[in-house]
Amino acid sequence: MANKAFIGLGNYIHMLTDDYFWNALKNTLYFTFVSLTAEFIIGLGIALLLNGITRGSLIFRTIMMFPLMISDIVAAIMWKMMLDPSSGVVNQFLMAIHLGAPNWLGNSHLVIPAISMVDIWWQTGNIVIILLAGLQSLPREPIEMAEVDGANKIQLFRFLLWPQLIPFVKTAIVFRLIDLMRVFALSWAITAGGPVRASEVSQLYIYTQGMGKYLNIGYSISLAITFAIIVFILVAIFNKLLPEEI
Amino acid sequence: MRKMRKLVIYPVLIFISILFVFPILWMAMTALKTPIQATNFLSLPTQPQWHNFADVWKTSGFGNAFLNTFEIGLGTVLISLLVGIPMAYSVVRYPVRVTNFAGNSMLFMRIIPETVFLLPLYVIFRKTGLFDTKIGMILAFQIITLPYTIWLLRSFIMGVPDEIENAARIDGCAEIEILWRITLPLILPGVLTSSIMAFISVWTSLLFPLTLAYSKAETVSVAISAFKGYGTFNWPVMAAAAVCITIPQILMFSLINKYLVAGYTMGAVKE
Repeated sequence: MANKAFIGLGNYIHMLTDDYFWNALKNTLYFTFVSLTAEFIIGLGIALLLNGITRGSLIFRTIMMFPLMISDIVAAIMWKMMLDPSSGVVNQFLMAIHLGAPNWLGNSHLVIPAISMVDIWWQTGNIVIILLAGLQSLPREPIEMAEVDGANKIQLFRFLLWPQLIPFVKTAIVFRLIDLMRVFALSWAITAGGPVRASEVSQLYIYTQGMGKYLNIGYSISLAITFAIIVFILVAIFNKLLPEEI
Repeated sequence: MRKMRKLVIYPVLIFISILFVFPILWMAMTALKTPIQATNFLSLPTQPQWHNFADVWKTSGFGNAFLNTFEIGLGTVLISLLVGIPMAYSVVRYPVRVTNFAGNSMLFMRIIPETVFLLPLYVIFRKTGLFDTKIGMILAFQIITLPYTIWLLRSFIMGVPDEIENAARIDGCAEIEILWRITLPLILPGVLTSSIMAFISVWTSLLFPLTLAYSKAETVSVAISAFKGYGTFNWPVMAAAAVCITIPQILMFSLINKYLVAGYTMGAVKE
């Protein structure tokens, strides 16, 4: 804050050549892509399974929602312990069934998938409850009629359930996309961005530039604004790509 | 055929459930172990170490952070409701251009990453003396909770038929009284849901207290992350701290169980 000279677009020009910023953006997009894809596929699968049963449906649904009731920082701290290379429960289990013990958080290729795994555990329930609410709001009669006419499961899903489910799919994906792009706690508390910035996400980089370490407030604000614009554009694209109600 | 399907569905669901629940059980168990037992996941807490919980409260102002978070959370909810209820009402019932714009900008607010607000707020708070105060935190949290409250209440108010309000209007009821005596009682579930969701977002927020507070307005999220550097990485005490801050959250969620979907999607999806 000491240097208050007005530097015009200087911060934005500096940003273009700031490799760390682009690295953080790349990490954020990679994390978002892996998590969103997995969460959606698993979430849709679970929602369809839950929609197919009546007995115990409520219990299973409550269980799926359990991780949602934990805050991101607690999830991060928990999983940091669970992913510990030697004493963590994940690797102890993998060793017990002879699958080796990868260093989840120390290997720059594994660290983002590992953090995604935490998010998948933490937030898949979110997609389940939205899609399940959607599936249960659909009228029963057309489905029963199609079943009588001999439609198989895949046809039923493709031509009857999916088109009606689209608005819910859209809600689920857009909400998850927004929250995934803004990830901070998972990266900050599990790895602090390491190893060697391999898991540093945008909000973490912006935070470290502005508050955490350097106090480059002006520069970090221009990073934050650029990042916000990127998130806006992504959300807008998804909003356009996903069709409206049919 | 139907029977066969059930034979597949239930085992799959049970397997997934175990994966979902296991980390939570593991955390609860670790909280009762000794540090040595904690590194072996097969060990059972045969002699529950309840003192781990006592250690949490003795550590670096955790109890203080707990109280702080409650106070900040309640303050935040109160202001969000006081401002949010009339605003949501006018956005729904008087959709002129200004209110429409206000309504739509609410959704934008959710998309914007927190750092965009926090860095300028940090500078402002430093200058005005709001830095590291509870009042400052309560004001800052309105950035997330107020749009959320308005947006959620909006969808609940839209579910109230105007006929009821119009009937009161014809009988000469003042607008503020319509809101207070007729609409508000009908949207109480929405008020409860938005209050609890707002409280939880204060409870779980990390970036806000990390940026805008230091010690006097520290909240639980920051307090628990401070454990990271705590001595020799005492897992059981960390797990106990995690349990302590998760229990109030689960209790609050269970109060709004029925409206959780609406709460999560800001009213976009209602069951």
